[in-house]
Amino acid sequence: MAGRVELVQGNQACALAAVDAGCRFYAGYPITPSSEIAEAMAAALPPRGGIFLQMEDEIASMGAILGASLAGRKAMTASSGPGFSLMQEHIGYAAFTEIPCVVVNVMRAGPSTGLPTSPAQGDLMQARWGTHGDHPIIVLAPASVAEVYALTVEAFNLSERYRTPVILLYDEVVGHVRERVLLPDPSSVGLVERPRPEGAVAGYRPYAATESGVPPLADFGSGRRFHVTGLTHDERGYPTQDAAAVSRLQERLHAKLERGRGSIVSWEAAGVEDAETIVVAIGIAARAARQAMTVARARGERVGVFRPRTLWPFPDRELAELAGRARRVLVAEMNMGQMLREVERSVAGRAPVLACLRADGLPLTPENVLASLERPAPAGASR
Amino acid sequence: MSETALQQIDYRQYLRMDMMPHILCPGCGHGIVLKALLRAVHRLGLSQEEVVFVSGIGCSSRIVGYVDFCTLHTTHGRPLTFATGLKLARPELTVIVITGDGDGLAIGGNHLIHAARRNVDLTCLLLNNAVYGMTGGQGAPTTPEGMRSSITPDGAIEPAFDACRLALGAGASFVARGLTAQPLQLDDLIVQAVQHRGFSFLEVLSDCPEFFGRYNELGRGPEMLQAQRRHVQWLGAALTEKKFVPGLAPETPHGGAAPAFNAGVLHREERPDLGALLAERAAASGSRPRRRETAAASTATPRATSASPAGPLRIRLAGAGGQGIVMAGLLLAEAAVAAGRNATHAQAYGPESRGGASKAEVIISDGDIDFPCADRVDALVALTREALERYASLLEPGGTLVVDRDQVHVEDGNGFACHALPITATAQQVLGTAMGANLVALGAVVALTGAVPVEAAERAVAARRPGGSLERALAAFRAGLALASTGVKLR
Repeated sequence: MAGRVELVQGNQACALAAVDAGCRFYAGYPITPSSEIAEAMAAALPPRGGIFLQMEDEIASMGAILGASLAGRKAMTASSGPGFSLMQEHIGYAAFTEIPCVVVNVMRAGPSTGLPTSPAQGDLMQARWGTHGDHPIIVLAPASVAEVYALTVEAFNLSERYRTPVILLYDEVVGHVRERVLLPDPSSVGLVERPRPEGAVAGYRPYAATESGVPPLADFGSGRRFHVTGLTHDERGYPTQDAAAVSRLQERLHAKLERGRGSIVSWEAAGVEDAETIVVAIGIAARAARQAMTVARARGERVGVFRPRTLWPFPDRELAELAGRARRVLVAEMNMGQMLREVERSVAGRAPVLACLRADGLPLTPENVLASLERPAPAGASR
Repeated sequence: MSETALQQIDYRQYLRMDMMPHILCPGCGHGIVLKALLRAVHRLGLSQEEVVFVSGIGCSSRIVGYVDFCTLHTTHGRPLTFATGLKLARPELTVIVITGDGDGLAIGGNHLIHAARRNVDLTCLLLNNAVYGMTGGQGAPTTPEGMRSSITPDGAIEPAFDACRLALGAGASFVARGLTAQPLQLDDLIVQAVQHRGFSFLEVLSDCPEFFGRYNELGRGPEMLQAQRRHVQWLGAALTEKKFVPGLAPETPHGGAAPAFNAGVLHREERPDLGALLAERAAASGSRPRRRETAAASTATPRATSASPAGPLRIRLAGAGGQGIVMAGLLLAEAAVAAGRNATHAQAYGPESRGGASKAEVIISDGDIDFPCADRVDALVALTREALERYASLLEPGGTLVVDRDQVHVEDGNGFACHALPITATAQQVLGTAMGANLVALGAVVALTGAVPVEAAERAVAARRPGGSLERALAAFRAGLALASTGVKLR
């Protein structure tokens, strides 16, 4: 594959990938530690016929990208925890109205203003459940600069393929670290476009129950007239309170991602084949776990690392299978125990689940993981 | 458009008849606005495919559901944000926003003023009935003082907004006020608002007999329309009183006699809309060469193939914010990558752009780098006393310590190869300013650790030109190189 080797920052890689993925609309609001993405998009978009807007807040940023996406553009916004909270109502709107978009959250230490320049992984649950109501969502969690690039492209592809908002979630260290990466030739990047309707204009149903569960979406202004509303709607997009229609919509929304689960869920496992201890971690914590694994293995300890790349849907079945062969599972994360609950749910008693938690504004280190590995596994009970 | 053509309008042509019956109450003014809107679109000869209606949440916002165009019923208060994205993404569309007084002035007030300031080419109709109808008659930012609502049984005590003054103050290039009591004039205002290039704001005084009328004993729809006529002066040229809202009772301070509110086109100016400005800027940016961000790598091979089996070299640079610590680290890492090696650069910093603590760490390796934040280092550059105190303990035995002699006093090297160098003083001497101490430090650490070839470091400096001048940047870097051999060395 042709390409070029460069030292690239995580946030810059996100912007480069967005442009290569066909993103031609960005709206955002400044917030540390995500602002480099906006700055890079402000420079990159106008010469490519794209639009960059600094909006009055994150609510407006999300509104603007949804409007642009309905007009047919691939669109993105980026923020950090507090701004991500402001976006939540519109993330729910996007999920319910099935408007493709990509939302980046570069996590800093919270809650509230917290430690704006320090890393954390405190938004794992906000990314899944931050908006109101039942909704499916895809959340991708890169751990390196190269992966920020790859998963940003993947985020656009998944959002288009499934007509859904996709959240790209990484911590401040991954956002600000610079690494040597091979940037691909943009023409070699595989891109997905949302399904668009073909054939007769009359009778277009933007929420039809198609076989794939993903109805084709027409661009506003392309000749098909239709209604989009956050009210519960029927296949025409018209508001409805009919219980059967309401139920059909909810079930289709969940089924479309469940049906695609095989092509959505992604994880990386290292050293898990013979592992007595499986460390589960994402982002920079996963890299600490990898280094700890190298050290532990050199000492003869059988340690493996399981790293979800899709945080949601969580690779629960895959982890459960591996955990069944291990003696214990250790969750290493930079919060007070968020992924821990999901791992406990997934492992479901097949092995005890221990925690290595750090929430003091500093990155979780290999030493933290090694220290946790020295703790004896509790007999029987989880944690 | 002639009277004949007007008579020819068949409203059903523009309505989603399969969405009827509508939810508006008998006597609600919003239906009058809906018909005026359709007559205006008809008169303008716009096709249903090229007009998009965008609305928020509330009674007024519901009317977009009934019109057969592309219609976007968004969230409470936010229709202008969606409309902004839509219009800029597809400028050929005519985008008309329908909002209410609660939607557009309370929860969405911030978006209204920014859309006006940006002068996005949108038409915004704000249907003001002075009350929250859909939620059961609560007071709004437009409920006049003294008037009753479900939550102000003794009369509102907060002053009310004048929506037109607000839009004008925020920079709307077209501001008008219309009345449901004068629907044909309303047609004209909508036509003018849509024709105007830029942000057109049209407040329409509408009535809510069901709640506002009932709470304030103002009668039903017809009586409330009569009251509008009594209290509004048509086609005023200036914004005057702000006391009027629909359904003003005869016993209010105005006594029901003198007109208190002006209607008609209140303001119109020609200025470029945001879409035009963005297009202009984009055309200019296409021809402007962009500054190169980084030094290109010397090879396209992703994996380094150095013969040296040495482990990773971990270097931490630390000092105060504004000293260019992060930049020095970046140059070091770029030089390493340009020289065909693997490298990472991690940073930590405080909220201050100047002052506070700042650090960067660079790991240079010939293999994979699992964890980019080193907690043990092989070399430490400390430009402040605080940096030395915080990080000296992380230095491996036999590691290299570089300190700024004038900032940090070191009694002995504590077993490190300690180089106390006049880093800031050298920058001052070579450049005439302390800015550039980072490049002096970079030169010193390159010379002392051999972390990267000097030529690679010079290429990285040349590519970025920190400080703006290639000559000055290189002079500082080379002064740092030279310092390394002359500095005080402690063991």
